[in-house]
Amino acid sequence: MHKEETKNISIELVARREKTKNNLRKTSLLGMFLGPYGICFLLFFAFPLVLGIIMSFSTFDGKSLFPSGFAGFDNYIKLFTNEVLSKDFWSSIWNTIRFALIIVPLSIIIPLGLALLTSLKPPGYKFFRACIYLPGIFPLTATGLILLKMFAFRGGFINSVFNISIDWFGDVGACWFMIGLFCLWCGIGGNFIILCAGLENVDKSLYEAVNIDGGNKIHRFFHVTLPGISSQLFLCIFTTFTGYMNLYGQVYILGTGVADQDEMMTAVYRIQNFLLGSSKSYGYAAAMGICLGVLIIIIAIIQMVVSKERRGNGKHAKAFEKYKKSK
Amino acid sequence: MGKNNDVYINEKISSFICLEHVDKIYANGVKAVHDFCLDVDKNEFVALVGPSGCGKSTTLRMIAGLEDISNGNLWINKAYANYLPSKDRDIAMVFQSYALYPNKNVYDNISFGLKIRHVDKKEIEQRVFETAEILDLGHLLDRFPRELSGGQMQRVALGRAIVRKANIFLMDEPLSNLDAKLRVQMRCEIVRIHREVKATTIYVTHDQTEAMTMATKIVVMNKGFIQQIAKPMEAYLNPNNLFVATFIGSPSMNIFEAKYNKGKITLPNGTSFKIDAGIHNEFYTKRLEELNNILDNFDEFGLEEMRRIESNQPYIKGEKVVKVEKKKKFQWLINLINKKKIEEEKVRTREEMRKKIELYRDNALHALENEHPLYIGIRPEHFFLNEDFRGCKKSDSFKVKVNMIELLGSEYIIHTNLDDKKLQIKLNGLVSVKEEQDVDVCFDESLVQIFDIDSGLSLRREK
Amino acid sequence: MQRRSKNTKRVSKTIAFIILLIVSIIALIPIVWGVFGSFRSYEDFFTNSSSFFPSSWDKFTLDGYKELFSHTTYNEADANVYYPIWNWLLNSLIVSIGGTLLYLVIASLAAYAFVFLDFKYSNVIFYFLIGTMTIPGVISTTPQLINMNMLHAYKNLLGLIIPSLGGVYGLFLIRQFFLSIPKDLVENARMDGASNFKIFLTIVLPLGKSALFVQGLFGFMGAWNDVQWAQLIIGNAPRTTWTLAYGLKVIADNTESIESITLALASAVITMIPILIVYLFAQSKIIEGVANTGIKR
Repeated sequence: MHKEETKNISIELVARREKTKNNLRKTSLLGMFLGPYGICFLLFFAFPLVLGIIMSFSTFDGKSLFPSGFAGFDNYIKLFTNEVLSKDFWSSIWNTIRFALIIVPLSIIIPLGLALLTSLKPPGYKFFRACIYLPGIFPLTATGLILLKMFAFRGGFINSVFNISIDWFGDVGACWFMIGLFCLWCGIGGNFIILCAGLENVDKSLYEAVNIDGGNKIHRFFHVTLPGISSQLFLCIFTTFTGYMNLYGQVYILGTGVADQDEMMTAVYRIQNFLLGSSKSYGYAAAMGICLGVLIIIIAIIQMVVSKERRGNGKHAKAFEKYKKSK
Repeated sequence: MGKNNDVYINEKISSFICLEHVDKIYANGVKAVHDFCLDVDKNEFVALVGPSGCGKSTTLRMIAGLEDISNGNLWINKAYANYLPSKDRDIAMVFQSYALYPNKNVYDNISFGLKIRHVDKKEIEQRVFETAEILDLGHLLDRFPRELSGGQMQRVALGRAIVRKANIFLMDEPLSNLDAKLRVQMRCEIVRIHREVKATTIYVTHDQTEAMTMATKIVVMNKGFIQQIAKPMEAYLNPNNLFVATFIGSPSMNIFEAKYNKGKITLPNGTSFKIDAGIHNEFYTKRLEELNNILDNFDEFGLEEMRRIESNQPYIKGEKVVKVEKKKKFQWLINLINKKKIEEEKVRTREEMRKKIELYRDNALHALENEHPLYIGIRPEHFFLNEDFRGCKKSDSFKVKVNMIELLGSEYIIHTNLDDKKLQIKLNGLVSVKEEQDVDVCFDESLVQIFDIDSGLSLRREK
Repeated sequence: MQRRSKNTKRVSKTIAFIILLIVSIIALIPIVWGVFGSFRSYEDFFTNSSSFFPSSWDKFTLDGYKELFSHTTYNEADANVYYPIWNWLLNSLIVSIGGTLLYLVIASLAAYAFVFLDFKYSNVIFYFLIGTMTIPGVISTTPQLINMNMLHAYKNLLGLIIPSLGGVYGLFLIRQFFLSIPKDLVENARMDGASNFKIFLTIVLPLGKSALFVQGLFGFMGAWNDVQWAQLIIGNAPRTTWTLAYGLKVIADNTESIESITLALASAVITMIPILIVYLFAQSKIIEGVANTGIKR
């Protein structure tokens, strides 16, 4: 009986059956490993993203559970045309950009200088490295609070010691200065560590080659050191700039004492206020968020394009051909 | 000595590059190079060869100016060069890792040295193109190092050295990162370029084949000491000591312990042959003298001499010498606490060394009068089948059993035993030998090397 | 090399030492001042505001702390200065440690899948994930709130933990590290008959310990310090659900007068202590982790 049965079952069928079994096994395996993360990613990252885009086209105001009220491009039009609202938003973006343009170069050059000094490995450099990174590990509210008290207008440490009377957190200019100081104080650590590591990784024999070729310290810096850390530099510039375009915490903590709050607004600050405020037009807030996001993406793309490694244009090879022919 | 533009000139130096008693001692006390003396004439191709950690790269870097010279003098073109910065030494260097500037294309890599020296643009182009022609790099001039193969990068590194028209080329194991076939090709290239460009070349390698085929003079080093300076053939035929004998030549020389008695040498399996007793006695008399001298001045020379003797010993493949000990945390504190212990240790070591040298002296004394053991070295290629002898002086033949045969195409390497020691014989590929077969072999007595057991020195070496 | 260069080396090392010393001191000054300040009384501040330390040892008090902890019970009249510190501490710990551990579990599982399980599109999916790293977070802030609301995670701790579980940075870090584990080990174990899960537990996880540790540190620090998202999720919730970092901001707002300066500083110090302890123990690993983000393997 068995023999005839097995004869009737073709090999193709067996192969197919085995294949599906294998595929099933593989899929369940994938599900077990990739599943948890996949679900979280979709639920907590992809879904809000898509939702945000949908929301920006709606007039959702929080009352109903789900975004509703299709409003077309209304929100975006409001962004660009409505006198009051768009001025608020675009001025905050302008504030953000202005601040970023000043602080990003500082956030790269100062750590670079410190990293170069550290690369000389003076005694205790490990300790100094830990100290420079230290301020950044604390919550911004804690370090900000200390700064608030230290630079307090009346009875603050700084004003007493130097016998000056500057309203660090009341005057717009001084406040932005403090915010800048705060950002640098907490923020240099990260870039500093990355650039230190980058410097360590430059091939030492390149320095020797420059030595033999006859170069001096300046040559070493511009022709070996800088190109050698170019990928770290790019990473720093990229992340620092994106970070400061999203500037919020430092301004929020230090800036609430200024009378003219409009001057203190950064883009994200605006959005946060909108979300917490009473107007509750979430659709509009979403539109603002997307606008800012698109702006950041554009700047990021510009950065990547500019930094792309240039291809040779073949001019030397052509000149060589000419030379050979002329012989 | 005269002073010429801030550079001291010594007219008495006759060679182009001269190293006099150069030492390299690192900050933690480790001595990497001992008493290095070398004369290099113009247009010579000198190879520094030895196993890893023997000090050859360190010496090269001292000549280049990348390392400080602890003791001794370096003269380049009669000028005192110990403290001369690298760029003023008129040298060009090829690194093991090529050290090409990754963000510059080939043209800029080659021309960088000239650009720094403010050479005229037209002149730079001319020179780079000349160099590109010699090395066949013309079509690669716009590429970046990451777009090049190993051999191409090698040539660019060479080009960078050539274009400077420097008088001295220093090369630090430039071929070790290439595959075997490419290596053979590039060997010829380098020699050809050396002839065309007429530079004086100092070449560091751990591969004795490279040294033998490329150099006009080789310097064999081990553990920081020079073992022998000679023409390649000379080092092959007349090695100074056991180390050179086993290092040069592949497969390496067979070494056996044999008995010497008044001119007659008896191998472990009973075969014997005669040598000139005069050479033997001369050697041991001189050695006795030297050892007595060392014992009299033990505090000054003793330890150094022991290290030198150590370095004469055969090279065991894969043996790596720990160059520089890593600084342990608080090592200085440990040293302070254990000061007394360390002192005692030092004294004990000295005593041991002294006893050892006294033992050597007694052995030398014994050797002059009595029968005593010696090392005999015979190269695999100096063995022949009894019926096929093709040398100067045929020895008595003896039987050996073939354990294994290595086929190399044109040659066989026969692995067998003499008594119970390993013996390798290289035979012409035309003979037919089978495994497990017993064969009659003999060797060429005139090519046998004889070594003193204690010191590893060859009895036949030149004084 | 010239004899001169040895000396210039020493000189430049000394200059570097001095500059780094000065910068380190500047970096530490506010923190040290804050710590010492939290142990002074406010009269001391008033009269000796220019001094760094308490003016004499007997002026050293714990008043600030005492006052801080006196605000930990609720009473109707002083609702505005109700600071339930212990709740905040607990909440911060739960969110930071819980969230981080959860993330480590799911991210390491996923990283294992990407590296050791061959499946179609594994590279495509991964590069897509990397691509999402470039999207500014700002775009999804608003919708995330709605999302949390829908999932009943609004105004509670859950809303603080779960958004971070979709993050890509940690996954990226762990995957990079897993790549450096020799595939031979895993294949050998497979041939010996071990199930994937067993390989994950007994081979990959132990070898990937340091990456997990670093990611754990970063995750913990990020969660502990977060203010922006906390403000949105639990800002309007009762104070007992707040985290330490956010609560501190409210304290800061309420202590603008100089009388409450020690209260403010004490609260800042309390928030800084846990993370300082973590830093002191794991400092070299943290720095190593940051350094490696710039180096391509």
